[in-house]
Amino acid sequence: MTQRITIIGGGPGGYTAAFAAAKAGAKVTLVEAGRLGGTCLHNGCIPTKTIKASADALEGARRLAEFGIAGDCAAAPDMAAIRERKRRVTDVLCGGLEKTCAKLHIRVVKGMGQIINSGLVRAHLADRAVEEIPGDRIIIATGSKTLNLPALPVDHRRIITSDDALELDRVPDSLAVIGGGVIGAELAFIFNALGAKVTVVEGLDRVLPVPSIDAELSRLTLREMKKRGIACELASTALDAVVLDEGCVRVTLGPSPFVDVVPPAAQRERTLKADMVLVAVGRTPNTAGLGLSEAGVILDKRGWVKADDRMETSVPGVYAIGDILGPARIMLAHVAATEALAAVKNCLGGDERMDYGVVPAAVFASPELASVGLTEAQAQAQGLNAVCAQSNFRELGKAQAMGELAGLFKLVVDADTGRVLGAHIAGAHASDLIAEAALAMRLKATAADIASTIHAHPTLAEGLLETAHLL
Amino acid sequence: MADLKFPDDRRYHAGHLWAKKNADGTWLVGITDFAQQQLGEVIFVDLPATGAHFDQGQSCADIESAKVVSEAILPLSGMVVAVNETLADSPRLLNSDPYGAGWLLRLAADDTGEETLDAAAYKALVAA
Repeated sequence: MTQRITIIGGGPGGYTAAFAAAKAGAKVTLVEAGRLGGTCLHNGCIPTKTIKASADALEGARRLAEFGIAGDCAAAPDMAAIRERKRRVTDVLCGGLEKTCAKLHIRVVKGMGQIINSGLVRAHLADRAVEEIPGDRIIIATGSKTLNLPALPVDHRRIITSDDALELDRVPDSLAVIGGGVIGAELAFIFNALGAKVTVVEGLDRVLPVPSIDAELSRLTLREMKKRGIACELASTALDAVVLDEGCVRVTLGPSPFVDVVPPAAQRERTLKADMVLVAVGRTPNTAGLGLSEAGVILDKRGWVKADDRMETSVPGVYAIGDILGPARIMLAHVAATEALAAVKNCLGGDERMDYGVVPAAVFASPELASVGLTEAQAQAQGLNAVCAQSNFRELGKAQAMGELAGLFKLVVDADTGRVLGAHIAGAHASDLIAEAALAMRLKATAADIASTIHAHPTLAEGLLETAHLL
Repeated sequence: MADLKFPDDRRYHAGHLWAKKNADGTWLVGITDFAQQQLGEVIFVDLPATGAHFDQGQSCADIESAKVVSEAILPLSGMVVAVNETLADSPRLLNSDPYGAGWLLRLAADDTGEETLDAAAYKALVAA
């Protein structure tokens, strides 16, 4: 008998699950209130990269003389045109998803899904109508949304979220970015390039204070921020943000409670004024209206859905994938998509288990950063006998030729076996370069394997080769 | 090598920085002529925040040239009381005037009796 699988949420997790389930012969219903593509396509990965491409083009125009291109260049951002380009890009990709759904006979129901029990989803449609969707398996893939804090009251005009930042009709004169994590750092570089005077406020003692990001990459990113005139208030917390009558926001900063030693510069309370404040302090699960507690789906104490490594929740037959599982399972589009494939196999009677050991991650700062596997600190914390090697982008002929000097390659290697435990890259195209290291780790390759692999010259990929040769 | 200068009016350290005592008791710190020649054209200097404390031999700044990113190893222990703000726009002052306008920072030294080198000893060190 054909399995009927209902998927709630049409982001990278949900549509990947829908495609895989349909290809495997299941009868698939995909419930999505908005457009297909989710945060990734409409508020995250793709729109930020599209706007970053505009920012990079502007930076390139400003550097023309450096490359021997003469002539006046009065390049300036046109936010309406930048937004229009972003819309066209997302429309193309969204249209592709819709076509694939149609081709695979996936029924897309435009509405909010509510789980009644493991065999029934109720979709609340736009016109207040309700549709009951019976099925055999449910996959929850509703994702996450921006987290707001009471002290930083978002009004979507002066105090904005990352969603709002992608829809601005002008570049703010000055922008205070609260949160120096991945989203904050990416948008800080983008708006700096577009001409805003940017200040990043981060509670921890480094930018990009993510466990999977090696301290060397944080250090390089901080230096690149300073180089570009982005101010950084580390170990500082935003106590409040108040929109003033004169049309700007006053942010009160104080020492962070999240660090043991607050440097002298961050110890006193001070204020900064900015045209706009971007709140980028985290994400929160999209669970409202899903009926999870009524259906018996257990959440953790922060409200993220709990699932086992087969992606099944506490309710048999109900699976969950993607951001809804929270940061412990890594909130990335490609993780959601991989979880989707595991969930679908298990929905169809398989026994697939998620392996989070080799998950590459990219940060589209300037320059880009990318990581896979353990950082040096993580390897030490795990008591591994690890050795590290590092080389600089600027040692590569290709980097010099491209005028892309900033960057580094770092390998974390098991001293006993030579196996690659982690790779960390900062620099132009780092997000593309990390794939080699991810494959190396997946195939349990050693640094010597990388060192004995012929790399084309002149390329940036030679950086991994050079670094492996140091070990 | 022969045309490198090592003025006698200051102390030197094996990390290729110099320190010169001001009338107010603070120390001015910068890189040596040898260091700037080794670096090549400096394109960015990442200076510390004032108020930060460093020990002798610790890195207090990153100096970036087209060839390398180099750590600036502090010749004395102390607290940073000022940094050379003009380097943000003119990092090449480290090349053109390493003992003058290209200074890095001003230090309130701890005066822990640390050893530094005189000009002749430092010159011998880099010649070795």
